[in-house]
Amino acid sequence: MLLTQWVLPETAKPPVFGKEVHMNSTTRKPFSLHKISIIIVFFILIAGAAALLGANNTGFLNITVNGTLEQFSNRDMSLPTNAHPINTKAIPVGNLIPLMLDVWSFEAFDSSGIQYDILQPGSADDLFEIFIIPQENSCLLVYNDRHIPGITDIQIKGDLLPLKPLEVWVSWEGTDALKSIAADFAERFSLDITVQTIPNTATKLMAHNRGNMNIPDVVMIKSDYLPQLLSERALQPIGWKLPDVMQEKGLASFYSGAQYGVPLYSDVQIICYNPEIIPFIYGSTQNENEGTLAALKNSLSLVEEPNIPATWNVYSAYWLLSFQLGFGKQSVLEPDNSIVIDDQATIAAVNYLISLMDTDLLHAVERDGMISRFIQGTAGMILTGSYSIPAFEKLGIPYAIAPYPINQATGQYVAPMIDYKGLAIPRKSKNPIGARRLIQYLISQQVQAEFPFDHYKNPARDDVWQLSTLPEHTEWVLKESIERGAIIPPEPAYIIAKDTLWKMLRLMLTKQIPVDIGLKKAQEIINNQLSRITN
Amino acid sequence: MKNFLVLITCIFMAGIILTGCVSPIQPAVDENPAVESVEPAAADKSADSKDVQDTPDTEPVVLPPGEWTVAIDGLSSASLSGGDLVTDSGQLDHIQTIEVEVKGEPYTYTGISLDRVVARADGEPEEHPYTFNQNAWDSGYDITATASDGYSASFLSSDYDPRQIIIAYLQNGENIKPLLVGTELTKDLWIKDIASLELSLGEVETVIPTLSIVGGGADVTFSTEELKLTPYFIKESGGYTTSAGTYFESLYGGVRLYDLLKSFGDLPDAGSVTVVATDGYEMSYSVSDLKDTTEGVWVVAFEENGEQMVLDPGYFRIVKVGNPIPNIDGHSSAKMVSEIHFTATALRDFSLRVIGKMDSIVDRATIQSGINCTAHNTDVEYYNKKSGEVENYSGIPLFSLLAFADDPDFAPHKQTDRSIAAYDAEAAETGYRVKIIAVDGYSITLDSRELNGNLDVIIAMYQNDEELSDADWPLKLVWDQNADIVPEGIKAIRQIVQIELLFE
Repeated sequence: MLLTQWVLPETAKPPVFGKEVHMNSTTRKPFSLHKISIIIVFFILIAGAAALLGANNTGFLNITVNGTLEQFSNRDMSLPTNAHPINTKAIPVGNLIPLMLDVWSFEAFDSSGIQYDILQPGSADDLFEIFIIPQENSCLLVYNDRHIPGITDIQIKGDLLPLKPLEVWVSWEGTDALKSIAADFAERFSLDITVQTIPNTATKLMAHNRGNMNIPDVVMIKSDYLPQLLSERALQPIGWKLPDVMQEKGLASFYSGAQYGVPLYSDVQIICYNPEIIPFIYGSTQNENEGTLAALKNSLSLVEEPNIPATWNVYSAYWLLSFQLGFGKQSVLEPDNSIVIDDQATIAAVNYLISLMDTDLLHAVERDGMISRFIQGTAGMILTGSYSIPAFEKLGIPYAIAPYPINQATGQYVAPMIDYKGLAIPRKSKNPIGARRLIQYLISQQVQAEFPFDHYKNPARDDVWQLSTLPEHTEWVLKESIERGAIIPPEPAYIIAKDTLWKMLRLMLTKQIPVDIGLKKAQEIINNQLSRITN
Repeated sequence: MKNFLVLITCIFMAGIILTGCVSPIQPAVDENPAVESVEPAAADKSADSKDVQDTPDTEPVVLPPGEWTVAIDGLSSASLSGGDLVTDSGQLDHIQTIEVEVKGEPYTYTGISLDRVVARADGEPEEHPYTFNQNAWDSGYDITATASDGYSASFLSSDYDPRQIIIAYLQNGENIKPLLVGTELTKDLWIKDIASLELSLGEVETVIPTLSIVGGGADVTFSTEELKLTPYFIKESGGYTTSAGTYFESLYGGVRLYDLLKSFGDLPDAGSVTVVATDGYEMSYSVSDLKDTTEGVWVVAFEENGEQMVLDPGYFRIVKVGNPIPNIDGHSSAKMVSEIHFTATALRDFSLRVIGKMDSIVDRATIQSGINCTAHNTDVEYYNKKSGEVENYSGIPLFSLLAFADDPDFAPHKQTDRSIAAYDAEAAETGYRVKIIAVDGYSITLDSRELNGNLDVIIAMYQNDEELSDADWPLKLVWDQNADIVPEGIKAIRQIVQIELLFE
């Protein structure tokens, strides 16, 4: 058999069998082993580099936790969409790593190897507040006022949070959305979370607390639940420092000696009016920002029958408080957390409401009647909370909103009441740190930028307003109302006053009892009840 | 051959280079860090834990505990202080040491094991030596540990070995504030500066809700257990929407209301059912409505989503259930129900005519709801001269009813979500006569100035919480025996059908 042997031309020899082998310049030059080896090494190196780069989808950032390189999915790195073209979108570090119980080292490195220490040792509470912003080949790390560019490597050391189940009780509006957010959290961090909608979380928690029944890990509350829950030792202080961007009024709503709740969102009282009956709530010449009680009264006086100029449940102290503040009261509660309602400001406020009723500008109607009249289009103006907006939107009825006015006589705002809803950790939770992480997630910028605005509520932190998807005027009204507003105080005095005034206001507003006598009587009742509690 | 060796070498070098580029994947950090558990010097590992007794340690630790106290509450109340760990002879008692990993480093903690601690409160009060209740521990009870700053965490006893958990007072040989720490205890349950331990032992006040049914000659009280045994008990879903627009849906367990009441006798369609709540609120339902099951079944529910309802909105709530799931108005779903009253006969209807500057017919429902309203509901103790007895009546102040005719402009008021007319107090102060007329024509006349704001003079609809007797029905004028102002000429006129306001 003829064997073909690759040889260099200059060493060519005649074949053994005498058959000439012609070698010429067109003949393929033999491929040396040396070259083959280089090519193989090259491909192996390419494959290795590809594998290395593929371990980190970002291509620009490595994050290791206790030496383990974290894998990000495209979902993790996909940035939230919003309508604001100029905002920078960022990703919380907390979204990219497992839930941490404790972090004792958080180091960031830039491409030249410079190391930055980020967190204080022992702190894992801020991981949802540290952001990375992808840039070309690296990222910008943002933590409070620190903006560190060029970061390519983050190394975290700490204890992972044991993955125990979480039970959450929610209430009020938007519970479906909250369940969905909790489900996202559960999926992201491989947790088991149960979310229940409870009509009255306070009574249920107290009953379970007394009865040694199952206790949730996170419970949604409002500020006037706090006195009862604390008296039953049902809650624990939240125990960590909240971001500086949280609204102070929201924090104050759940503060009673310690911070017992984290604000999630708020509703605020607003004026809602029918522009087909009242084209300009403060008159055509007055800016809404400077709207006065006098201008409002003037607009109401122009409403013609059979329409009702204004209607709301005048008998509820919840609506009276704003007028008390507008007529000179400095704060809802006194410095010692008592409440005074037989003062000149309150007398003036009640008399003012009587004068509106006397001139038929204000009709006292309970809530259901008020809403039905507004929907029917027979009421010019109502007082309601921002929680009503979604329903009016859905119904497609003509409506407009405005902030409460200034009382031109006192120079003080008729301050709208702000009703914060928040999240608390029961004292007997079996997973308090897991609860803490869920709460930190729910108040994180990304969640706060979506959930409240989707439900026409105010977010609990101020830095997300720039991400608002609300119509411009609505956003302004809500923000302005929060600015002017007063919180419902988390103290027993408010609850006692509300219940007492509910009975007395009817008698005063229907002139069955003189205002000063009625308020004096109410004050006596309130003082007696308060002294029973304090003693 | 030489070339082949070159090839192999290059491949080998490539492999070394790649290995250097890619970090090996580290194993996941063990959530339960490696522990070396040092055997306690004198731990009793007896299988019969009821007999576990305290035994003294033979190797005292150098540093004594600091001054601290942990309160313990369980079946009894006790406490543990640092001084408790020192015997009369100065020895340290019941001390053991464990090793755990903290921030990657081994730490040694010295203290007293949890079984010794809970033994002080897991049974009847006793003196040292304390008996640890192993049975209770194994059955499982919640232990809530609270730090001095309020941080709390709970765990179930049966999930852990109490001898692997200690209240430590030494960390690596140095005094620390008491720390709850354990080899098995996950770090989120380690409590620094622990101030108290609560054991969920002890009798819990068990509430057995009861519901009273009055009517058809019956006056019966049922417990929830008894109601569950009736053939009327069902479990179905129901929903309601509050005035704020929030929809709540639950799986309710309760008894079919119409069927339950019918079991006591005839229940004609014209009859009515009134539910009374613990706060005095009342809501009436017509029998015909309760009987109609085309859009669901009315039940008195006491279970919600598998659990007994708590007070407010329970223990009992009226709700409609079915498939498809009914959605009723929130105010139709009376909550905190404690009594159900029904009449096997139709309601006795009546009306009151109030004439003055307006002519109003005030129906029974308006008067009843006005009396139910907390702003108007007034009780008086009337002294009956004839019988010499004090009688209790409930009704509405007379002056409140004058609002129906004291001016021509305002529509008659109702107490629910309808407009409320203003009462013209100024006119009453100016003065007009108020003539109260009974069904037989008998009348008395009073002065509005003595009625103005006078809560002690009422038009009563109930006596001792029952509708008035036939002799007085439907309405009666009475006044409180201690009234500040007793209008001149007043008499206890009964069977009132009309009130006239006479303006000069």
